[in-house]
Amino acid sequence: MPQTSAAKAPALASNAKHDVNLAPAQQAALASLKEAVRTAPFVMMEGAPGAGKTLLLQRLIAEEGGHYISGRDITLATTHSANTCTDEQLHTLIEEALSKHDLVVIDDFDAVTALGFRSAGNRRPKYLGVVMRTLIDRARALGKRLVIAGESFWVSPEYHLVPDWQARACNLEMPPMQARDFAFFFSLVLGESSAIDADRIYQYAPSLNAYHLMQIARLAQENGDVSEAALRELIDTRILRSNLRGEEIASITFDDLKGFEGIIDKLTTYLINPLQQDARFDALQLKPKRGVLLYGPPGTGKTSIGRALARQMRGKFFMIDGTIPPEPAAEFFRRIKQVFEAAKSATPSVIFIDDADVLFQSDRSTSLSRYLLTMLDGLESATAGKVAVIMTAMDPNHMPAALLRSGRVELWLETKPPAAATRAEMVAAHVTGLPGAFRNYDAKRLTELTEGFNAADMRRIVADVKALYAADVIERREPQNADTYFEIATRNVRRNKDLLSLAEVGAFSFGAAEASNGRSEAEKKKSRLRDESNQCAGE
Amino acid sequence: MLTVTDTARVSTNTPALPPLSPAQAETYERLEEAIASSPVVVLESSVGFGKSFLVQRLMRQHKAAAVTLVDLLHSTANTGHAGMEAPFMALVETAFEGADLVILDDFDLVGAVFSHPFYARTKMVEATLHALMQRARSQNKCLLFLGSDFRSPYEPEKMDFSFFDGRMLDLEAEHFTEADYRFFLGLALGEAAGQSLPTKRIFDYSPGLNGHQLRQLGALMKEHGRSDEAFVREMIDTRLLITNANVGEIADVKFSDLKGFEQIIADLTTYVLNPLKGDPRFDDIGLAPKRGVLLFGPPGTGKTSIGRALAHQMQGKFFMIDGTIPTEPAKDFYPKVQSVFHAAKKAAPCVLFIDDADVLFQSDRSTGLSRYLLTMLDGLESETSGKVAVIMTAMDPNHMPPALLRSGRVELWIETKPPSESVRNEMIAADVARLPEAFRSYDFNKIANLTAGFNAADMRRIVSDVKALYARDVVEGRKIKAVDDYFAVAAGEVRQNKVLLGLAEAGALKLGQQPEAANPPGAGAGRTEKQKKASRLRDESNQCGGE
Repeated sequence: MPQTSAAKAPALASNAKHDVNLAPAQQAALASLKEAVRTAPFVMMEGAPGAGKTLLLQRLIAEEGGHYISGRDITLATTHSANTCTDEQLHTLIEEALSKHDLVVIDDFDAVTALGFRSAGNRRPKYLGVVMRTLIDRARALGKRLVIAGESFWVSPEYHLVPDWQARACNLEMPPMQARDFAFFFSLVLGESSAIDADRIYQYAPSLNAYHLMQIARLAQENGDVSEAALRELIDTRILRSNLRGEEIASITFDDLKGFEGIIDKLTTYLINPLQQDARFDALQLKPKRGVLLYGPPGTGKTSIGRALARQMRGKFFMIDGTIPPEPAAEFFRRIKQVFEAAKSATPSVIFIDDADVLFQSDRSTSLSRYLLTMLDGLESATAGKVAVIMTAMDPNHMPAALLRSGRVELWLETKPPAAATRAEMVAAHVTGLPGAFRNYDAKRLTELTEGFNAADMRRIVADVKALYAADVIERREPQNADTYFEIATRNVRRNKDLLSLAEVGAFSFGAAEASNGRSEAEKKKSRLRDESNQCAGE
Repeated sequence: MLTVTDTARVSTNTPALPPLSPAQAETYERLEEAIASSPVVVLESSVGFGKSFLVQRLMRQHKAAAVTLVDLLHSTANTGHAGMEAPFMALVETAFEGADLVILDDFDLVGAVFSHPFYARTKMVEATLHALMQRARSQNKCLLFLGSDFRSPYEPEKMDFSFFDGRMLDLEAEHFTEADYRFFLGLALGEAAGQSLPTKRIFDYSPGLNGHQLRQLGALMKEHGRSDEAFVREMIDTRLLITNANVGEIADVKFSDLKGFEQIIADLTTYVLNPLKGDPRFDDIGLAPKRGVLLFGPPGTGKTSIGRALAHQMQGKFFMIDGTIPTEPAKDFYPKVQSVFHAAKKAAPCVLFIDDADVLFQSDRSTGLSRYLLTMLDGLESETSGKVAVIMTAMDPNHMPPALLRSGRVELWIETKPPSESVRNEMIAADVARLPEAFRSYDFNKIANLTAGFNAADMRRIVSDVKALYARDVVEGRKIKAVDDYFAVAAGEVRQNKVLLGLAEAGALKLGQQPEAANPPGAGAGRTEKQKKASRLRDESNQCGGE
């Protein structure tokens, strides 16, 4: 994305009077804007939503005189008559304004560029280039000033016109907000004596915009609680938005995860604690680990850890999973970048890339690993530096070598199939709350039967036991005791595992299901023999 | 309803024409020659050259009519359908009625609409233009097209006039020289002031500025009442040049922050930065920066940090290609890369930084890409003013395309190495310098061996981990340990991560067979022998596996 460094580091002291109605960052931006219209006929100003562009533009008009063209004016001017002539109507609108006023300001110009570049119905793409050149030249010839403002003029992939405008413009960018700007917006709502500790809030969520800050202050005022904890709660639940839906987040807590104490301890130490911005550690400047790899066989709880994290992090948790299709490539990267941009605006935050090894095996792998390299510690990563990226992998050997070699995966956490004691705990947790009959089973025997089972398998067993019991009740059969059900369920799960391991190596054959329901060596051998005879008889 | 601006019959008391800059005057002369000898003339100039001044002059000197963009907009308004050829043709034909020379200014923008693949009648205009050319030929008149960047790298499908098939004269405008800079700044500040300005210095510093930029520079100098070189450079860097790097997003690193880089910084300063600065003391020697620099070394040894420091030093003269430009889909990748090269050329002398170039070159389209980059680098070389230093970083120079290396375009090889023991100690000392006293009383000797072979990123990580471990013990109300214990645990964990990643990279990481991740304090040292062996194994398997 092309950026101009203009106004990022205001080099010159501004002689603007102290303006009580503008935040410090906005005062600096207004000073740059005034200087720009004094020295250039055409000015382009970019700023994030909620940075106060409209306020500044209107202030500029109020002080210097001129005409303000809003999205409403553009809508009305381009609505009537044939839709192919939108460009000409836009031209007429601005041209007339320029002939009457010395300064013309167009707000929400992104909408105009989108109309000219992207609108699918536009049968004269790029005619906007003709319109803008005409207007820029007109302003210059008449000694007038034209200012366009928007969130970003860089509309991918039509790169062509914007650089042309930028080469003719004074390019400005709204400076980012600081803690003192936060304090300003809080005091707008709560008065000068606002008890909110703006520094702490700035540390917790530095990318909030003016709307957010005033909304937080109003909510806090209404609740009568301006403590840091209450404000954090508001930010997490009302302001920041994860790309996960609520019901996906709510399911699991860290307490529900059995046998993960080591992993949870590491995640807490290196990720969650630093993300909490605890005031006790301000002097230490704790930073979360940036790249975390959670790896282990399927069903060992990687995604569950993600869910628990999501619940803990709420609005600061973002997910990249299979719901983002890898085709077409342009769309894929647009979505990936969208997630990263959202996470950057909610820093410090977490992006969870589920099944990263599978994702990296796609054709898109080079672009994606280059992108991650940049996000994890590239040149331009001051904001991205506060986004922790957690990747899960069934097989870390399939992760791209460049990404591993770069050393940007800082924390390696292996999830393992649960130990015997953990398996027993899992079943105990699952049957809690069920009728007494289900809780009356031989835990030791069950633990032996489930040797090598993973967390997902253990969940499946309990589900199967319930299903088996229900089937017997419905069919009016005599219900069996819990141990019998557990034994059948265990056998079923083990048979499934055998089948899938056959299919995985391409050795699955029809009918093998009957044969491989046991675990003994003899049975396996029989099944192998049968496989061979099947193959001989194969059609 | 056609409105053609026709000023061919101007009265004699019209105001004097504005003066032309030397490059504009030279171009005007060549234009006059061309008009006299060809039915179709195309003049291409870069943005902000000042074509409109030439048009003004032609209108005064000839029986000429100009078809402007405004005319076109008016003629296509209310057509009700997308086709624009007929109103366009009518405009030009009307212009021909009373004129010998018809001028189509800013035709690059018009052509972009006509030849866009989504335009309702793509390229239909070629028939129209052909007919207009025939008319100019038969009536001994001239059709003049003006525009900037007709051959713009941005759009492969852009109109290229090849359908005129050699029956036109194709001119390119002169480039601005120091004399033009003096001319433009003189316009803004008054001629007398213009003579005393350090125009040579300004031109050397940024020879690619256009007329708009020079006039704005003049206006800024007037506004602030300053014309010293430092001020001018700052204005150019922060107000005029448009880099694709967002300097605010680049962590603020200074060369002095980089430990153990003395030699590398000295090399970069001698061969790249000094020559780029244009110091007047060396005007007669003619310093040229090294064009291709390869910064290579293992991960975490500071390549990106050098890039960050360069970005802050070079400001508007720092351009970069990094992972935010995806190589897929190709139709988006190439225009984007081209636009970066294009912008860098305009801001030369400058630095173009290609981060993780070896990874970039390993992408699917690497052959096409390296051929393409070779050509682009050639393009930078052939440009007379093109002092663009291309700095590439690579974890493994063996993965760089041989053609690129063989071509000799990499003139300076700089290796970043893992820090020595004393530098490692310095790094930790610098990192803990601003922490509470307890953290500063560590004994480096206790972890000196444990951190052998560690890179700068690893050392940063150790201090970061020490803080995290301490914070955890505070949060959970555990007993606070001695700082050396924390350091030992942190160093042990970093080493274990390195072993794991080495195994995974070689495809040799077996699940369920790694040592327990938890590393009790003090136990770190006892594990090193085993880990060293694993790491050695890993290195060997890496070498076997490397191409």
